[in-house]
Amino acid sequence: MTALPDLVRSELQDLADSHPPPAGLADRSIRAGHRRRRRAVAAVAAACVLGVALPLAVAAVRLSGPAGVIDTVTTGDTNARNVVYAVHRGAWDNAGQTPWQILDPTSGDYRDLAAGWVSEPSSDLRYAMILPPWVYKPGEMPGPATRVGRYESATGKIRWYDIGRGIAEPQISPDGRRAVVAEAYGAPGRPVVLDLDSGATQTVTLEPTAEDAIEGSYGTSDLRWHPDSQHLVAGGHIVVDLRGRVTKILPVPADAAAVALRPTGNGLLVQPQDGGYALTDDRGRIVARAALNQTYGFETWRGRNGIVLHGDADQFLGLNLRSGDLRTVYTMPQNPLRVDNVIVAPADALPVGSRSPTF
Amino acid sequence: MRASDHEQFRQFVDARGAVLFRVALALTGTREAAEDLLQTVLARTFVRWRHVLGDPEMYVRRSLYHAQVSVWRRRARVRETPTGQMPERPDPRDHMDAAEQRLLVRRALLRLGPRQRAVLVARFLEDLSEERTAALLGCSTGTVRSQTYRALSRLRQVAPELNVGRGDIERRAEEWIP
Repeated sequence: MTALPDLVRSELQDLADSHPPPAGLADRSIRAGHRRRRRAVAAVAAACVLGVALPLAVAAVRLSGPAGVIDTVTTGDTNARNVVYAVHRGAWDNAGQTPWQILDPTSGDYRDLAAGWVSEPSSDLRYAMILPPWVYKPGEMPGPATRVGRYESATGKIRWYDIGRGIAEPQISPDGRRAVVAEAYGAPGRPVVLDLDSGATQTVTLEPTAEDAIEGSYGTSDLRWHPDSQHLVAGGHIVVDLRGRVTKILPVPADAAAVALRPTGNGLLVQPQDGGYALTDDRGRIVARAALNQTYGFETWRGRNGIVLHGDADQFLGLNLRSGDLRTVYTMPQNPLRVDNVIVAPADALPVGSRSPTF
Repeated sequence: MRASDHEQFRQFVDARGAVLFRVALALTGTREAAEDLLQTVLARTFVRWRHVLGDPEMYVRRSLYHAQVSVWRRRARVRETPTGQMPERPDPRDHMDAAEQRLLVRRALLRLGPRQRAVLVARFLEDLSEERTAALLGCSTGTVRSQTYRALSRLRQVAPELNVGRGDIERRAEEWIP
């Protein structure tokens, strides 16, 4: 009988040989590299222009906004507000690092930061977790980050924590007191919870039910914080405590997939098989539903009954699950400053009249 | 950038592009995605060419693996939706010819997460040792073994009709599962 590893080896070789290498790869890469370089130069030039007009309180260049287009939207929920917390630019700066721009919620400005990763922020937008930028050294095999930082949005200060092994995708709890990190390329069922005050770490050993729900994911992308900051949620609907024990499994309707826990902790956001999104109650009954013509990825919550979706190309859409209202709420900046990633966060905790550009 | 840098870069891509494209194909599963991935990584390499001249292939290989994982960060948010009706699966007792078996393995490989696929590509396509795989992915050799075992177990789970035996690698890796 053929062994599975032999079949895998043979099939991977077939897959790798299934297409010839593309013609003109070197020239296309050089052209793309030139475009990348021009974008980097344009980014520096734009930052310098804005820097002349704005007082520089810190060494980092501050920009006056996320440089995207905010489309006003009325959802009927006056508390439903979002903000662009961070923007990741594809262009590399002169040091070969990928720059982020992160919101200072007290001023509404954006601060530059070279980082390898920026998480979604705590619910008050005060903190986010970051990883140091990846710096390549010739002749060395660089490994993953072994330390993680807590970034303070209002000051730009970073407190670093050494984890002592390769880590990926840190996420901060909604209350900003803890972070969960995954071991880079390690077992997904054994993430580490970090106490951000004491620096103490604790390895979480997920029960098999929860581990199965995140099997195959990278980092913590399928393991999220519960709104109460005391639990984690695996696979969108399995609640575990910080020791990894399953404390609750929210029922998922038949022919639907769990996406996320609702902000109240009761019920789920689910994706029905026939499209769109729906809200369920604690017993798995659908209580609100909005159909969509095509699939858009869930980004974050927009109040209690709405969500922000990643639309086509550079657009973010607001969807009210009660009314079915769908419209563009934010458009990413266009060239020459190409954007690789935008982190949109709920802005419910910001005071009314905040200078942050909410939408 | 000097003309000689352009020429060096071009020579590097001409010499190693085919090998790197094979890795990109195995990591992504489709020609379009592989071209996107490889071109993105090569464009970054070109911009940093003078810094990576010591060992550009190592730089590109590592970037390929890690860039593929980061692409998944966004895709992972759209979860697989279960279907109301399960597709018909052949009875494993039926004779399964080699072509069917290969198709099943390929489909199952494409359903693996990026990390598990990366470990299998490094170990089985590139034939890297556990130590080299660990260095490439930035983890311990124990993690490479346990991830290999988990990936193979996942393949058996998503394609139970394969009904194939276990090799030495799988048996050895199993010893590392806590």
